[in-house]
Amino acid sequence: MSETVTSWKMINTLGLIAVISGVLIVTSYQLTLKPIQANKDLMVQAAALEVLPGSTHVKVVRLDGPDAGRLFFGYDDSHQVSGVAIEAQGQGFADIIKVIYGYSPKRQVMIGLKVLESKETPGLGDKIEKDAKFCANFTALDLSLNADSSGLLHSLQVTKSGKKTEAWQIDGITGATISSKAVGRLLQSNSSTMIPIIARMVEGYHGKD
Amino acid sequence: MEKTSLSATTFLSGLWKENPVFVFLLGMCPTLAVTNSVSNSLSMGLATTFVLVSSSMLISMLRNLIPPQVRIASFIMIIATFVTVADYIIQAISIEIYRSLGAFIALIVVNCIIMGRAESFASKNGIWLSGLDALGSGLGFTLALFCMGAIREVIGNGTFAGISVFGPSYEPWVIMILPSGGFFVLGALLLVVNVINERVKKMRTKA
Repeated sequence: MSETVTSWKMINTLGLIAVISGVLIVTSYQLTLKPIQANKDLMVQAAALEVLPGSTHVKVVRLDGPDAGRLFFGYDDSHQVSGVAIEAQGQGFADIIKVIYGYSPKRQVMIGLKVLESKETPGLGDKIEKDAKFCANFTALDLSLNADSSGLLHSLQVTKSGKKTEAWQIDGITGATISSKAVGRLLQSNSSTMIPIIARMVEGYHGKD
Repeated sequence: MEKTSLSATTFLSGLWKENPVFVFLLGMCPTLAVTNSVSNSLSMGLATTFVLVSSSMLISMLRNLIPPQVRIASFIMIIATFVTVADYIIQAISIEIYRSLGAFIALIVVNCIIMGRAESFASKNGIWLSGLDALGSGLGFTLALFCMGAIREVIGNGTFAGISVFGPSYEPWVIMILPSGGFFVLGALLLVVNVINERVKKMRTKA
């Protein structure tokens, strides 16, 4: 009999603590939701400027439909579009990797990349943010459109470290193979969808001028 | 008068005499991993102090309700709750700090200083005293992390909290902000703390 009472007491105590935990977590989540979102927006806009060299300010354009998301159009001093920053994400080794990359519609190349969120292994997978050689891949990565601008001429590819021969290839990192391939995969999938859309938007923008 | 003295002793012991890092060698994971700069060290120290104080006070408040059979599960649940709260607060204050601390914020859950204080103090003492004990240990931990971070950043990067100390001609000792630098600095600090403690003990014995 006494054992039953003890069991109930144990369950009740754990239940009570779970309720207290739930209330505390949900309250703090609700209270911090807006400031966290505001901080994240500021960080993404600063990152967009970073991946669009030559831009002095960015304007956010929201996309509707199946490609819902946002684009950051970068403008230079003379108010001309200097590039477009695009957010992309994909599964990494530990968790989802979120990045933002800059695209120059005029030169049809990627002009910069910054990792926004990554939980890759410190010292190994986090080289996707720190390895200078790997980061150099994204300063002039070929994203040329095909003849009718419906897709990319060459899909992005990740090669073994030092084996890059073409402008659309990404030199991988030895010791961070999975993470560097994950970045290549997410960029390849995102760019093949987004670059044709951006090309049409930029064409329309110039057409209006 | 006696109560005041007990409170002061409880608070102060965590700072130096029972410093979790320098004396008990607890919480080594964040001590070695995130002390490559002053701002990271202070952020991690203060986040841990927040979790330590909040969880110790709640555990102390519920101590007569929690049966010993489920105490570990209860403590871990309470600690994990405050770590989640700390995680949200840090994101709301600064995404940069949140990013630089990375996975180590979530790892506060398994920081043995917090579980240690819950088991050995908060589960046996009142709320006020448990809060003071946790604050002392938390600030002791922050002090240790700050010492590590300051030394590593000054030597390894030539800056203190981002401000240049030695000027542009200084060639930083990069090894100090790499993992091995953490071991060197911790070893050197433990040596200094032990020498100080030994000398104080000798002086007291002579007196």
